[in-house]
Amino acid sequence: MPKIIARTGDDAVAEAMRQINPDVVVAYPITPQTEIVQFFSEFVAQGRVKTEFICPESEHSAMSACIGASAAGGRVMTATSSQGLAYMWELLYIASSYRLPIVMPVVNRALSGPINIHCDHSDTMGARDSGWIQIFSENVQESYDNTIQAIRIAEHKDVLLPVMVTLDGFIISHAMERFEMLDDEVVQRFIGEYKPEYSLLDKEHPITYGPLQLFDYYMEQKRQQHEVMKSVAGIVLEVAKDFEKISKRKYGLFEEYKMDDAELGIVVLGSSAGTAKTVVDMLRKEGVRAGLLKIRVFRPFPAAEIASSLSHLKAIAVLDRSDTFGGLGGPVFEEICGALFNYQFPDGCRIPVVNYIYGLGGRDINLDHIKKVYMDLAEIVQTGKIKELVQYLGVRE
Amino acid sequence: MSEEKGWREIPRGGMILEPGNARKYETGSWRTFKPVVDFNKCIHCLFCWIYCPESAIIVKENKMSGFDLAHCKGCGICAKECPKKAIEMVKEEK
Amino acid sequence: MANIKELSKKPELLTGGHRLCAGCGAPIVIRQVLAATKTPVVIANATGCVEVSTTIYPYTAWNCSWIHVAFENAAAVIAGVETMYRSLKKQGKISDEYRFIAFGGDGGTYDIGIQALSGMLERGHQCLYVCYNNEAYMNCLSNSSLIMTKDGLKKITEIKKGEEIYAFDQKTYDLVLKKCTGIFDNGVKKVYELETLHHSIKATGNHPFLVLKRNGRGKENEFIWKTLEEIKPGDEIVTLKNLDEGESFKFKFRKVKKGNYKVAHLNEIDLPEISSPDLMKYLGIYVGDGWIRNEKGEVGFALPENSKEREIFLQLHSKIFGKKIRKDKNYVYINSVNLANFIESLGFNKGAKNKIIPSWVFTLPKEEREAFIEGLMLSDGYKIKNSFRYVSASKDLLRTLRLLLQITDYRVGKIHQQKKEKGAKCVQRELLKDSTYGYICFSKRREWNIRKYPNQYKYQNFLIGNKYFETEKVKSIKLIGEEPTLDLRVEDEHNFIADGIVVHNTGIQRSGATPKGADTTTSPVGKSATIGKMQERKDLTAICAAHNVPYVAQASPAYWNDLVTKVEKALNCGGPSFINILAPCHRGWRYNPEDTIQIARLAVQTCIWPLYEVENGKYKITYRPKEKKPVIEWFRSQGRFRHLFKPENAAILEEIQNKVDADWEKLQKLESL
Repeated sequence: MPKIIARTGDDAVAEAMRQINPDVVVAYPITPQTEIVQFFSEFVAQGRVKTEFICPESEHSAMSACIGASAAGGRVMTATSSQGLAYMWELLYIASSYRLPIVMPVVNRALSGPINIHCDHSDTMGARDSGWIQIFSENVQESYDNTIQAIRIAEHKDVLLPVMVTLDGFIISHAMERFEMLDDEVVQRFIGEYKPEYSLLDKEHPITYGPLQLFDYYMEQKRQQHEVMKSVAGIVLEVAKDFEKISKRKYGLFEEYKMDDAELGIVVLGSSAGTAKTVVDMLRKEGVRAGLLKIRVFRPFPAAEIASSLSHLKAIAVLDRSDTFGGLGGPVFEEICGALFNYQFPDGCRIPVVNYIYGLGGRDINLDHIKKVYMDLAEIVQTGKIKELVQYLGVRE
Repeated sequence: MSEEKGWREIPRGGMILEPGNARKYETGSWRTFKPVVDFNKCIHCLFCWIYCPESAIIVKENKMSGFDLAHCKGCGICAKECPKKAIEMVKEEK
Repeated sequence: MANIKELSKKPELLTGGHRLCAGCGAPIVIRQVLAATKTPVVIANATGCVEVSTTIYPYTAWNCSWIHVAFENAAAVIAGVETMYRSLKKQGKISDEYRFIAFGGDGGTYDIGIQALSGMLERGHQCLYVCYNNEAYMNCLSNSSLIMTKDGLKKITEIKKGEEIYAFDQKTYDLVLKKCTGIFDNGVKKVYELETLHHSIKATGNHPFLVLKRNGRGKENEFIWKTLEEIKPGDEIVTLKNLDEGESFKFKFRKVKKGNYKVAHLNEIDLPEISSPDLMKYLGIYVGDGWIRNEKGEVGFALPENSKEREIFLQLHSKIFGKKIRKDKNYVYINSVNLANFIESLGFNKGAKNKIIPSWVFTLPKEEREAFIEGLMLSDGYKIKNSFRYVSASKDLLRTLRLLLQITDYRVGKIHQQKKEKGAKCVQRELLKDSTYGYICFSKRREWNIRKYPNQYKYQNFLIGNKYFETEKVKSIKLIGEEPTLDLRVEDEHNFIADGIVVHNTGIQRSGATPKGADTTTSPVGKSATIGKMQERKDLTAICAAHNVPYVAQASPAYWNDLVTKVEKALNCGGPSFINILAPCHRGWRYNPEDTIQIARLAVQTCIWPLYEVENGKYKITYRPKEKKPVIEWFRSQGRFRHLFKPENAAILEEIQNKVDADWEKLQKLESL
């Protein structure tokens, strides 16, 4: 029987890892991910998992060892955050290009500088081109559920790509919430056994991983990788359907909250979606037709689907918890605009879309902030004019 | 060079699934000088085999039996190291 | 012991068809390592020559599982593979014994890769890390050399830091006193003997001497530094011909009040407090004919009765000491404890074969030195026509005497050796047994009349007219074998006088023309081709050994048996291991491709790349070169070191030789721990 327990996000993720029981975990601690590694290492010490656990000397070596271990044909997991993710950056690209199903919870934390340990999405957004599948979680339950589903997604024979499951630093990772933990056997049955097709440890079939590919082959290899990403969405939904059977919780590529008849909509990722949902409820009571789209799978970006979901709105505000410093706006804003332009309104977007960059370095976002956004949207609809395309929300001028 | 495959045909992840297939790439064309062995002098010490960078010394039944000229690059190490001076580097006739 | 025939039966794990350069050292290293490895094996390779050339898509030269990820993480990758292996083995999913090897070039290992390597070693993974190292690096006198110091002629081994030493002022050609700022023990090295008509010296091939460079008619001649190896017979070098007038020596002897238990009486005697010509003559006789028996408190002299020497001696003795003397047919004796002790304290040594002329004699005024020489001649010398000959069984005595004579207006030839049989007469005594002895011939120096033909004389001797120095032509240079060597560093002038010849000191280099102040750099003035700061590579083998792993070693593909044995040991050590293997690169090092193994051998023979292992902390040198070659041969063998052969860089070669020798010594000491 699944139990309802109170845990922090890191703890819940550690429990998920325990239930997954990977063959190898190589992880280096960094705030606010540290507790994941701490809790998991306790499980290792207690003998509750079969995992071979290494404490490497850096995140770079952690991912290197994960690649080696995964290529050696077993289930591999790690976890990191912010600077750690940045340190292993070159290897993220390599892991995905080698098609290794490594699953990595990433606790969203601002990238230095200045150094800051609190939540924003600059770390994972910085890795959006690395070829990893990126799944964002809103709360402790989602963090737990996504970690388990990630294994199935990564190891699917039509995918075989590494997956990063994100949870907001401190807001989810260190906040205690009630969540439902599935039974160990249920999780084990759900993820099944990992049967790799190729392995360095298959002495009958020695393989070479990581050859030099010059101009005559590199592009073909990348084209292949490009194609694989197209199959991911379907498989995410498939896995979500199976997960619903064991958990009674529904998951998709994104979540639509009161979107059916909405006029003003916000696109948001992560824990702020929870705050935004409360504002939507409040505004609905006041008669405002507010709606919310929470993106779950950011990579691959479900452009067509999202564009379709937003197509009936009168005004859209995209909330970004990171900046591109020189791009059109925040990364999500760029994707949304691109999606709308290409999939709904190729001749020009008739819906005004504006961007709010918020919550950097853990700056709090509250109900008033989000209410302001909706009010701004209402004004845009009324006046037909966009005062500011991209603005920082919650900053002292 | 083998016929170049398209992206659908190449193995995933950049892997090479056929171990040691570099044998198909013949580096023998790099040579200017080729080794020639005088079996009257050769004592089958196999030093040439252990010093060859190309694995181009063929050993059969514990005896030095010749050169893999498809891969030998003509570096001359075998001739230099042979204790009996049984190997000579001879200009290649093209 | 590896059996090459057994090794050759194993399947080739690195096939032909890879695209490393013809004659590259790296694939030889890899083939040898893999020949020693039992399969199945998984290899992780760092980015580098090997990785790039062995796996050009779609070809792979690897006949086993192989993974490359990035430049700096081969050790971390192999650690991950090994961990998965342990996990799957624990779960019963794998049963075979696998071996795990990481290959990295010195680039991907020493610097960027050191973090991952350190972590792998520290965590105890059962992996072997092989570094294929294709960037290896990258002035002494024999211990018996006699140096002219303020306190007289001393052995180089007796010199202390801070002592004042005579040097040649390169601008004024004057004799100057300079402080010794360091003494360096360079261990046993190959040594040559350089001989001129009047001097000889033993030094290593890279020791610089001050040589006259004649620039031709109408041009100025100059002095330049040339290493011994570059000097040819006929070259003119600078030698010492005179010292300043010294002072009588004050003795610091203290009499004893009591004799030892064997001696009945003390037999009090008056002892001189300062040297004098008479005393020096007396001592000259002592050196040739005298001996001391301390236990008896006796001094004896072999002076046959009715000989001229005895007569002169008795006169001297009476004048100086006034004491009674016992006489018999062949000998005279003085019984006095204090006299015996006094003479002993003067430093002439005891025993015919061991006598020397102590340093302080060289500081005496000319008159006293001449008296000393006269005394010597009375004992073991004799005149032949216009020259003198002095005979002695003590080689050191002849060497020191030769130098003393040179600065006392004599010209001395070389030291001759002769053998005489027992019973034969030597001067006026019969030999008690067979002996070899030496002799020198010398005569008074004649001064050139330089006023009559100034230019001509200057042509003969560039330093003619100089009070202290002159030039001599080199007669021969011979390799004589290996000897322990030392070198000095002297401030300012950076030269000193060893065995009467002006030689350069160690370390800091300075060409004859460079002004003072530029001499702490090693780059010649005005030239852009500097050596650069020869920063030494860190000792990665030692760093790995410091991780306290079960096995660490250094190997060379030229010694394949040693290499194979080491790989086997490493793979069976039950923990992490590291082997640093020299892999010569003819492209980078600039030598002929066929010489790769020769070069790999030479590195070991010069001790640039010693072969050793550290097994559980215990050091062991696994190969000792029968003949330790000088590093100059290593540098000569490759084009990349050409710049080191410019004369101004001679000191660097010396420094490197010193460092190599010091490291070799250190390694031997580590072995004894």
